[in-house]
Amino acid sequence: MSRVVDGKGTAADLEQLIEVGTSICPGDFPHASNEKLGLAAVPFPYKMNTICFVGPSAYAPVNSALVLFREEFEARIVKRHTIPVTAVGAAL
Amino acid sequence: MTTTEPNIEVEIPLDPNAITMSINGKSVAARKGELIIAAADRSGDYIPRFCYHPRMSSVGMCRQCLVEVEGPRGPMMVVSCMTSVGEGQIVRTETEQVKRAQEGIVELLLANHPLDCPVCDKGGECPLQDQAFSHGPGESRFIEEKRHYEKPIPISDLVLLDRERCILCDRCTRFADEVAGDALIQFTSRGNNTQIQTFPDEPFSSYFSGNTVQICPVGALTAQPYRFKARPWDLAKIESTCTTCSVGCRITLESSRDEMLRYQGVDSDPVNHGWLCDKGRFNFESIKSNQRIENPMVRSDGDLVATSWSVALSSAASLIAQAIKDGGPQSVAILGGARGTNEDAYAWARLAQSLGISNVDAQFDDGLPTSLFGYAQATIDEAAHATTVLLLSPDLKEELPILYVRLRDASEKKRSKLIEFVPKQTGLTRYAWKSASYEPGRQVSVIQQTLTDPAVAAQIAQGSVVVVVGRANLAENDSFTMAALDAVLAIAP
Repeated sequence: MSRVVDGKGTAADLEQLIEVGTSICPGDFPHASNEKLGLAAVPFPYKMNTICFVGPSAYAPVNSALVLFREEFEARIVKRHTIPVTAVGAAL
Repeated sequence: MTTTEPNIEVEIPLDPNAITMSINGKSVAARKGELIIAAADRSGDYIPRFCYHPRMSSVGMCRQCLVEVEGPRGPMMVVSCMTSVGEGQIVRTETEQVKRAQEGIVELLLANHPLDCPVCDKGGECPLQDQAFSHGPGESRFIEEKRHYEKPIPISDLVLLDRERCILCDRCTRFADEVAGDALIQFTSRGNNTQIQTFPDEPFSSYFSGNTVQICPVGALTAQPYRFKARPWDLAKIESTCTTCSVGCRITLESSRDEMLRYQGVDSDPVNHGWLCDKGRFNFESIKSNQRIENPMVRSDGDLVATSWSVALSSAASLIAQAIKDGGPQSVAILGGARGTNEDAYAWARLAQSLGISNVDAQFDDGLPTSLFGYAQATIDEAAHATTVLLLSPDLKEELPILYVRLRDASEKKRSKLIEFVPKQTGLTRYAWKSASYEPGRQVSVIQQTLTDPAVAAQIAQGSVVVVVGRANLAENDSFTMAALDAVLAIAP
């Protein structure tokens, strides 16, 4: 995640985040609806593979950010090609 | 060991606990309360696992054994080592979802595993290695730095701990707590920082610490005598019996290049359940002692001369034959040892018989008279399943550690009640239902007093009774022990 935020991520990193989340909670993870994206809300409860009840809670913000605000992440990944490496720090 | 006859009812009714379930489309017969993973093992559908061990309680720590079970809300992912079977249950162990979950878990386990397999003692017999190949994704996407710890740290004189390799399966800690009864290693911290630790000032000085090395599913716990000595695929393995004490645990002797390197416990249901005590597991180092006699020697002209086995055996045979010829079979006697196996004893008894020698003698290890054989015998299994176990004097934790493990288990699982008569506190005192101490030599009166107590008498009347006899002290005359045994048998026949 910090790789993506630092502008050094790739599209594979986003997939990996979702996939790690899926190995914590298989199937669809609950999130809110979004009219702009045409997404219906996924209701609770989620399924769990983990022994730890904190696991799904940690994944919840990651999942909803990635599902509902995906374009912002993608912009971050694409944008780094247009920003010189030295300027990344200044842009942040 | 001596016993009164255990009550075994020979009657096999139709099992009310039998159920039928389906695993991967196959119909499997199982018993109520059994775990899915155990039923799948019998049906031949291997479910990968790290933390599950059939001899210990399940915790579901590693999540590797996830399977799909048909539930009211569609297929559910459940941990097969924590879920018991049910009538008509439909289990699938090889679906796409199961595969994804198992691969995900292997990948996460390997994210912080150092993958130093080429120098790891476990490499080649490592469940993590095997299952990373059979049920893993094949490659990792984690490019970050792995977690680092100081390694290895000695947690006792015999066991070393490598926390980088550890996958936190809870096997060693469960063993120490549940089976050995001395929880000297435990998890510390939480989350990403969870690690196995001993108490700060206490080493892992368990009598059974070697077992944790054997059951560790990775190379996190290694045994000092075996470290970097061999690779598992180079070891020549022979199954045998441990002769350190009279329990006679099943072991495999593992050697490489004509050097004995380690003993491993074999899961033998009537005896040791796969466990060994450290005394038995690590005493092979005495084989390498330079004081050991390595060749047969024959005394000629007052000097011992090393020779070959064939020469030694033929000269022994000719001496015995000469003696029998000169003085008849009565002039020869055979003394047997207490440390041999039953098969050894049978072999030399046959030899004596075929030579017509009737002067034979042998002793128990602790010098009790052989008239003990005149009492009814109990097996270790019968002792561990008896309603009441009476312990006369021996400190089992010191003398017969695996019998201690079995009886402790019986007492912890509320199968048996232990009543011990001891001159001092023993390892089992904590688990004994009644512990009566006596002054050496006064066993009989203490036993009579305790056993005539109404509560104790009611307990003894309830079912089978096994008596474990031993000598608390070699300085004590064995007649006291025998008198104590007679006193017990007079009250509880």
